[in-house]
Parts: sequence; structure tokens; C-alpha cells
Amino acid sequence: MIESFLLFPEILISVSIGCLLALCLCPDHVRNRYTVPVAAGFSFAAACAALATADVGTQVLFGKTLQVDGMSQILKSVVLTGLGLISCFWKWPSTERKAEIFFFMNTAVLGMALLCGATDALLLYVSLQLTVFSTAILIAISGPDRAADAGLKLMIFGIAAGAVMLYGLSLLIGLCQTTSLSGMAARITGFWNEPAALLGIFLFAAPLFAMLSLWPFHAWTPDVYSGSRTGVAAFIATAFTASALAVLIRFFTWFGVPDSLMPVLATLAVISMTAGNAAALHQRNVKRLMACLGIAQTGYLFVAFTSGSRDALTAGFFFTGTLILSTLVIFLVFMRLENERKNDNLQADDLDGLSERAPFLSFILLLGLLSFAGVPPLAGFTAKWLLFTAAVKEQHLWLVFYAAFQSLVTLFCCLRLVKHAYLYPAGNKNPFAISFVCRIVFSGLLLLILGLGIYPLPFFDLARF
Amino acid sequence: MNLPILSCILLCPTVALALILITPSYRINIIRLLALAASLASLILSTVLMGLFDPQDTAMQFTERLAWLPDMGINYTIGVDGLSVTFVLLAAIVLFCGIICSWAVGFRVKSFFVCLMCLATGIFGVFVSLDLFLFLSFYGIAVLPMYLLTVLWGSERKEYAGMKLVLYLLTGSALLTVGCLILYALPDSGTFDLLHIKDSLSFDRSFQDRIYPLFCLGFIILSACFPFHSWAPDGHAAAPPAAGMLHAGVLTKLGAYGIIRIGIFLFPQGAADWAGVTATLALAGILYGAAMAVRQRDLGLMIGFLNISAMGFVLLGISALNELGLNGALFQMFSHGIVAALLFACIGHLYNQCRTRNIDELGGLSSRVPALCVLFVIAGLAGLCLPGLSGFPAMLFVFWGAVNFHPFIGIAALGSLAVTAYCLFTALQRIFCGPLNPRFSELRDLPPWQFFPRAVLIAALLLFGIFPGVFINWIQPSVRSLLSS
Repeated sequence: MIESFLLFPEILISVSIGCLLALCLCPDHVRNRYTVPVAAGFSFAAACAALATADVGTQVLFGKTLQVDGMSQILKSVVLTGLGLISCFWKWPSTERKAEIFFFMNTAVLGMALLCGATDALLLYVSLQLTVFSTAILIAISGPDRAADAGLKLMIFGIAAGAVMLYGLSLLIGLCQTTSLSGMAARITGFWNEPAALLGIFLFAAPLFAMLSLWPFHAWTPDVYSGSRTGVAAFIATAFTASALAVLIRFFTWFGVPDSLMPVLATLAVISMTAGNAAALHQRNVKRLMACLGIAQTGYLFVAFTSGSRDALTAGFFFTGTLILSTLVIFLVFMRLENERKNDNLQADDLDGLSERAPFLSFILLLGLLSFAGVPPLAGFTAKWLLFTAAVKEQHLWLVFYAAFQSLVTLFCCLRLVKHAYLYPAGNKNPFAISFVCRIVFSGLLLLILGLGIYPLPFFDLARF
Repeated sequence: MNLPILSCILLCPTVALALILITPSYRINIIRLLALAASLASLILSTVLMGLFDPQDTAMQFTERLAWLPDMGINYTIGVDGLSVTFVLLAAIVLFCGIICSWAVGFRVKSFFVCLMCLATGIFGVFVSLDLFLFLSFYGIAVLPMYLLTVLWGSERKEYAGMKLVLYLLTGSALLTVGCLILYALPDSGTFDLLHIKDSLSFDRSFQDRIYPLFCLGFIILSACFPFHSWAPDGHAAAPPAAGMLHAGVLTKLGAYGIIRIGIFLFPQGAADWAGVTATLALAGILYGAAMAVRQRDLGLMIGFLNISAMGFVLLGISALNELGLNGALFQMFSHGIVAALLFACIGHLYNQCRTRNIDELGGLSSRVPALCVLFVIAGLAGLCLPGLSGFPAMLFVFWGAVNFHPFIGIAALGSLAVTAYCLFTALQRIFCGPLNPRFSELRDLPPWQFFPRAVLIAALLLFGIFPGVFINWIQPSVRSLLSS
């Protein structure tokens, strides 16, 4: 009984998947009418269920294969809220295979929810594959012509990632004689000098690094983002990050960071920041720009993993939460623009004159971008400050020094979009209306960005695991 | 009296910002009045603060402390002493005058005043912060609106100037962030509370010699001192009047204030060991700023370079590390803040009328805009430190302190005043004397109500010029206390 209660989010997602599957078989007018309410309703309900069970402590289910704790439930609620909002904002094109799109989105979310709580190597592997393949199909069926390429790219990446993870896990399982991650962590301490252990850990973590778009596993990100519908890109940008983070935090908490891996992680963080920001400097396509900046943000996040302390990981968790929030806000604005322009390939120029045509929307975009770049008093700044503080405590001063300066490049790239929205005149001067509900949603997100920045204590306490 | 007066001063622009945000954008007059009311309230509260302030008490006064993120050593700690209290007044005066000078802004009025209120919140916050996290947060809050004000309501080369400004200022801020994090990570520290760091930690000489340059460099960038000054002339010239006033008048002073409040307060030995270098940079800035000003044809750029020269004098006074020098530096920061605000208020009106700041294109304007001409002359004379105006005692103290520190540097710096005088008089002569350019035959002078804010600034210049003792009494005990530590 308790297990069903704890698994309520997963159960609701599964019911949603069943309903959406049934809708796929219905006539068009039924699908068009019920798809979004079903998808969004179940997502929000599951998010509430996840949040309601966030304070149950640590519960291990199904023979230690699945763990429900505060961190996993919060990340599930973040992903599910994001899914609900994306479903609500998905207006254009209205006649496409919406039921199928949301069906695959929900199967991907189910994989992510399991990934957030997986403590067994095999469940982790299966969840990862479910997530990646569902997302690849989602991209291919939802998007324009070029989406097939993007979907195929993600599919190939998924196959490769699965193979690499499986190889890494086989080494770890062979050394530790268990498929339980906590069991592995307890037994691997005797094998730290074995190259097989280090290789196993690296190969196990590499697909998760790729989900977070860490250099050099980032190559799929810009193409997949720009090839996907904006809603799907928003889904990938938020949900992939959340689920991969859950696994990595659990992994680093249990295994610790071997001293020999610290320089490797630090180097990857530095290159990721540099490569992401450098690539973003030249981007005109807004989704590619966000993808490149996402790579840089992963570099900042890895400052926490390099530090490895519990404080640093908590700060990393909080940082990722604020990052997901800012990214979601930015992408929801892009979705609203996409709906208005009937164009899923938004360029920076398409933002021209946004402040004249939709002042409220441009203000939301401004604050989302500033929070993303880490400007006070918004959530991104406080999160980055806490992250850097934790890293400095672990004596990673040079890394913080470099990250602080790379943050300026991120800000520069974000300000380029601000300039388009505020400075350049619009080609089309017609104002476009924003619904009351849309205003309420954006205002809520805005308050959350401000709240997390100005008074982060309750949220930061929530991020402790 | 239990009124949390500093928080009230901070809240005035913040509340106005929130109210303006929810006011419909077509209610232009309500928006303007809200901004004016907030600035007036800030000015009244700042004046009350000055009245209640006890100059003889060298400890922090009106302190307020609230746990914010206690586990991370971050608290809402604010307070003022003689070093900071006068700048709260300066910011309030300039903000009040700036809002009246910006009354005619007709383009995106709501966004303009939102940015201005945000900028004001940041500026007030920096001057009252006693927590390093708070200090840098408020600084960031001040910088971003400055960018938007410059690129949206600015004039020539505004895009370039805005981006350059924000990148320079945030580079300085990034250096300071790293410095603050180093202090936090020290053994037995674990806090960003400035007073706690000062009281509980003792820094050895080698540490001070390593950490002071980091803070000093960050603050030198913020205060537009040579050789990290290049954002300032472009930024000053491109900014709209109110933003230019706050920028040149107050924002650049934040950097110099930071050197005193954090650099010298926490690392006195480091400051003494690096005084030769900073004094040399100050001298270079004084001479370079004056020399570059001579070459400028754009009035905004010329004043911008003269500001660099003036900030050089401030840095020189600070580098002297004696009572006269520090008194002079603080006085010069206040005085120059008023002068710069007055100059940019006048330039703003001139540009709005003529749509050019090119000195060669202007001429004979005194016949069309006599009131503006008088204001320009007074501001110019104040910039030249004429006796009777506040710049004179300020410069005298700086010069005196600098000569005590190093006679050559002091005397060489004073030579730049001749170049400044040449520069300003030539510009005034070309703009206001000679035949009138027919293009400007329809110019309108300042309306009487626009004369008022400029008159307030002139009154402040005269008050502290004639009674410099009033200002010195406010700051001197705190300066002595700082130097004795």
C-alpha cells in the first residue's frame, strides 16, 4: 500500500500513457479535443503527487532497485510540471499527431521518473533506453522534415550511449559481483587502483554526461535542439538535465569522486564552458543558441561534481533547479512566439521588436535570460554564488575564477537576444495578445525566479538530500 | 527611534518599481509621479538620516541584521558610518534631480522609470551593505538597468557603449566575487559579513599583499580609473540624462568607495604596500584623462574623459593613505558626483535640443539658451575647483595629502588642472560664444521647472564649498578610525 502511494507519480504517468494510447485510436476531433487536457492534467497531478511525497525520507522499493527520496521526488515534480506547461503551450500546429506526440513524451517521462529513483544498474539501463528512444521517436514524429535527421541522430546517440553504459556496467558488475549501485559503491573501494574500475565508472557515467551535454559528449545537442519543435527542445532541455542529474548526484554521493578523476572532471568542465560559450557567440538560431549555452551551463554544474562534497552537490542540485526553471521560461516564450509566427525555426531576428508587440512577454524573456546568465537578484545568480562558494571551500579557486569569467560570455550571448527583443524595430508592428491564463503562468514562474533569488532558504533546504 | 531608516531608503525605489510595474503603461503621469515620489521620499529620509547620524561615533550606525542564508554565512546586514552616509545623500540628491530632468522622456516611459528605480535600489544598496554578498548583489542590480537605459534611451553609439559598459563592469564584479569567495573559504571565516571578517580574522602581510590587488583591480575597473577606463567615456556620452547623471555622478564612485570600504578597511597593510602603484596609476589617469579630453570634439566624450581625470584625483587621495588625502578623496567623490550630475543634466538638455554634441557644430548658443549657458559655466567652474564651490576644498585636501605622500606625484597631478581649464573654457567658448549656427535659431531654453533640479545641485556645490567643515565633520572621525586601524 505504501509502495503504491510512493509510486503514485509513476502510476499516474502510466495511466496517462494508457489514455493517450486510447486517444491515438480515436477520430481526429476527439483527439484534438482531449489530448492536451489529458496530458497536462495527468502531468500536473503526477507533479503534485511527487511533491506531496517529497518528505517521506528515503524509501527503498522492489528489492532495492528503486529509491524514493526528496531529491528524486523534487526532480520528478520539476520534470512533470515542465511537461504539463509544455503541453498547455503546445498550440501550433494543431492538426498534427498530438496524441502520439504526447504519448511518446509521457513514455520518455516515465523513463526519466524511473531514472531519478533507479538504484539498480539494470533498471537504470532500461530507464535510460526508454527515455532516449522515446525522445528520438518523439522528435521524428513531431517535427518538420529536418526533425527526422535530428531524431535519427538522437537514436544513434542512444544506441551508442546504451552500449557504452552497458560495457561500463559489465565491468563494474564483474568487479563488485552485484547489480545494486549502493552495493557497488561499498565494494569498489578495494578496486580504486584497478584500471578496470576507473574505466567502468567512466563508461558508466559517459552517457549521463552526454545527457547533460558535457563536452566532448555534446555533439548531438545543437542539431537535435534546432531540428526539433520548440516544445520538444524545451522538454529535452529540462527533463534530460533533471534525470541525468539525479543519477549523477546519487552516483557521486555513493561512490565519491576518486582523486584521480578530479582533474579529468575539472578539465571537462573548463572545456565545456569554453566550447559552449564560444559556439553560442556565432549562433543566430535561438534553439541552437540555447543548446550551446546549455553546454556551457553543464560546465558550471561540473564545478560542483569536481568539488564532490555534499555541500557542493546540494548547491549543484539547487543550481540545476534554477537552470531548469530559467530554461523553461525562455522556451515557453519561444513556444508562444512560434505559435504566433507559425514558424518553428526561430532566429534571433524573429525576436525583433518583441518589446513593442508584447511588452509582458519580452519582460518575461528578459528576466528568464538574466536569470539563466546569473544576474542578481534572480535565481540563477544565487544558485551560481552558492555553487562557487561550495567549490571554493574545496579549494577549487582557479576553477571558480575561470567559471566567473565564462559567466560574462554567457551573459553577453543572452544580452544579444535582449537587444533583439528591446532595441531592434519589429517588421510586423501588430501587437499579439497574450491570454489571461498565459499571463498567470508566466507571472507565477517570474515570482518563482525572483523568490529563488531573493529568499532561497526554503528551496535550498529542500535541495538538501 | 526604531524606524529602520536604511531599509526604508532602500524600499522607496523598490516599492515604486513594483507599483510602476503594475501601472498601465499609458498612465504616463502616474508613472512619473510615482518615481518622483519615491525619489523625494528617499531624499527626505536621507536628510533625516544625516540629521540623526552621530559623526563622533565611529562604529556602524543604524545597523540592521536579518538572517538570510545563515548556513552559507550570508545575512542581510546593513549600516552606515561616516564613510558611507554622505553617499546615501549624494545618491538621493542625484536621483531626485535626475528624475525631474527626465520628465520629458516620452519613449517607453514605464520601462524607463522601472530601470531607473532598479538602478537607484542597487546604488543605495551598495552604499549601505555590510555583507559582501549583499554588496555584490546590489552592484549587479545597478549595472544591468544601466545597460538597458543606455541601449534603449541612449544617443550615439549606444549599442556599443552599453555592451562595453556592462562587460567591463561585470568583469570588475567577477574579480570581486572571486575575492569575496576567497575570504569566505579562509579557515575560521565562513561568513560574508564585513564586520565579522574584520573583527575575527587577522590577515598576515603576505596574504594582504596578494588579496588587495584583486579587490583593488576590481574596484578600479568599476571606478573607471586608468587603464581600465575605456567603458566610461562612451557609456557616459551615450547614456540618457538621468542615467548619465547617476552613472557619472554616483555609479563610478561606487568603485572608489569599495576600495576604502573593503580594500583599506580589511587589508590596510596591503593597501600601504601597493600605494605606490595605485598612486602612479592615479597620476597616469589624471594626465591621460585631461590629455584625451583636449582631443575630443564630442562634448559628452570630453566630459567623460575629464571624469576619468577627476576619478584619478580620488584614487590619488585614497593612495596617499593619510587623513588629508582620504578626507579629500571622499570630499572629491561627493563634490564631483554633484558636478558630473550637473554637467550631464545640461548636456542632456543640449543634445535633446540640438541632436548633436559635436562642439564644432555648435556655436553662439548663449543668445538662445542663456540659462543653460550660466549652468554650464557654473558646472565648468566647479569642475575646475573654483574657490567657493565644493570642488575647491576637496581638491585642496587631495593635493595636500598627495604632496605629503609623494611631492612629485602631487605637483604633477595638479598640473593637469591647467589642461582641464583649457579644455572646458575652449568648449564653453565654442558652444556659447561667436556667431549662432542658423540650425539652432529655434532652440528653447530650460523651462523654469527644469531649472529647479539644476539649482538644487548648484546649491549643494555652494553649501559645501562655503562650509566645507560640515562635510569634513561628517567623515573625519570615521577616516581617523579607519587609518588608526
